[in-house]
Amino acid sequence: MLALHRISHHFGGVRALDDVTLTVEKGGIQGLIGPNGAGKTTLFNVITGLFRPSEGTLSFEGHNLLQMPPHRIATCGIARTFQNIRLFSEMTLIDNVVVGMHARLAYGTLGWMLRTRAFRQAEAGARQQARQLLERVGLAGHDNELAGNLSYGNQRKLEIARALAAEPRLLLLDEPVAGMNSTEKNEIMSLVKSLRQDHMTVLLIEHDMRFVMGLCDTLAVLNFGHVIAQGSPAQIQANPAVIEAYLGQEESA
Amino acid sequence: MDWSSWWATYSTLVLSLGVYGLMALSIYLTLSCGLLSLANAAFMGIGAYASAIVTLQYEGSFPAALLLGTAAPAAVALLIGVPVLRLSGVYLAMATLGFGEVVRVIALNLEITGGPLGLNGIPLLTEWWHVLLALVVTVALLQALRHSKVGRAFEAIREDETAARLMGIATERVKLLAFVLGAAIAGLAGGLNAHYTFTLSPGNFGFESAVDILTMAVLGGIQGVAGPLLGGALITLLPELLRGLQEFRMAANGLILIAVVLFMPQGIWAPLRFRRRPGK
Repeated sequence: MLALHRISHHFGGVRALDDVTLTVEKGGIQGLIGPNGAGKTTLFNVITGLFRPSEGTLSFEGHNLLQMPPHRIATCGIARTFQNIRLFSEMTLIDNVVVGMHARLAYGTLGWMLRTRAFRQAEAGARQQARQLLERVGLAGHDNELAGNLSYGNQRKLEIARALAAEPRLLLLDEPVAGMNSTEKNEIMSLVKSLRQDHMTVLLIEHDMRFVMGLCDTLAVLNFGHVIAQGSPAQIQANPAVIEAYLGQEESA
Repeated sequence: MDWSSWWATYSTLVLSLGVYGLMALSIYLTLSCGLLSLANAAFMGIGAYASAIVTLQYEGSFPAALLLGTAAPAAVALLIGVPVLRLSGVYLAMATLGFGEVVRVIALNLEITGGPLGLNGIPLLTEWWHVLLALVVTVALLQALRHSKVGRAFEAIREDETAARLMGIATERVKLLAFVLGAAIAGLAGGLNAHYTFTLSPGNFGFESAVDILTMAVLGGIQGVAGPLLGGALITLLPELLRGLQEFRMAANGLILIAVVLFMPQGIWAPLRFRRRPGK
């Protein structure tokens, strides 16, 4: 579904991504782990078009993403959340979610100018759907509060709802449970699991190992811009290169 | 004082209330999209000159003059918007101020604009209801826009342009729309303005005017169309209301502005101030 081939990206002399080849298969939940600074978020930024990689190819369902501006990549079916939350904090919860549907609201200029029937139906439908999404992520009944007034955990939930609003086929979650308590983590875990029924593919970055191991079908490990291992959670846990990346090399006697 | 002599004295002021209301709305449009553009005075000037040339030198009809006065600055905005809107923040402000200077100097040197003398003897065609109609249509348009996906896109871009782009919003096109629509409204205001002031000169649309227009929107608040209208009215009326202070008039004017900005940083009209916070 998503294929990265020999992607490299440098910031000045730093090779944030170095010859990364990675595929994401349709329908699964894939995890991307690795120590801080390994290049995980850079990889998300490359996939969503914020960074143009220095080398390599990137395709999604046959489209060459490297020739598309970020908003076109989004309308192609890729949505994401952000590690450092990026909500529209002075907009209401429901408006945040409806912004996620922007490209799907098909009424034209005359539609909103004249407030035609098609316009009103599309807007009412969008609000209805946004309310359902807020309910799904556990934020029902707060429709008209401002996003900036939410607690940290709830802001992360709202980001997921906003990303889901685009009805993506591939969802990128960047540390979805960072800063959450264990109850909230469990809620997010069952939410992500439930996305399988919607035939959504998920690629997620997370440091919480219990969360990652309990949720992901496959994992890729990134260290210093390299993919150092790929496989099932069990394989990854037993991989010596991964253990070394996380814990350091044993001193030879 | 009977009605007709009152109108003879104050008609310019009343019409200016509406015209500067339009100007404040035009800059509100770009501000609501997160663009600090100071080109609106220049767009007003282009609209004023274009429409005055139509009625004065080609003896065209008033509607045709207003139409050209609206379309000409919009076309210019479309042309300069593509390169200029790659800038943001103070850089955009500087570039648009520079554009304003260019327009002023061109008007100063062209023959068709009357050079430094400007245009004189422009027919007095603007009636009170023309201004009112322009205001009503503009407000209706902006309200419809605010409650559509375009208005939400404006707001999203203002809050976080990167996030907006990744939600599938074609941010460059949306910003260009705000810029061009703002220019069109400013041009319409300019066309109306030219036809009740009798004269036009290049100095009318310079730096000072650009800052005045920005002040209107910031003072009134940009959380809705009511704010800019209020700010436009206030900035237009204050010098008149303070006439009794004579030479201290402009100083008092400045003090009032400072006080409002200090104590109401979001502007006078700021409904979000009363928004319920969670847990209350």
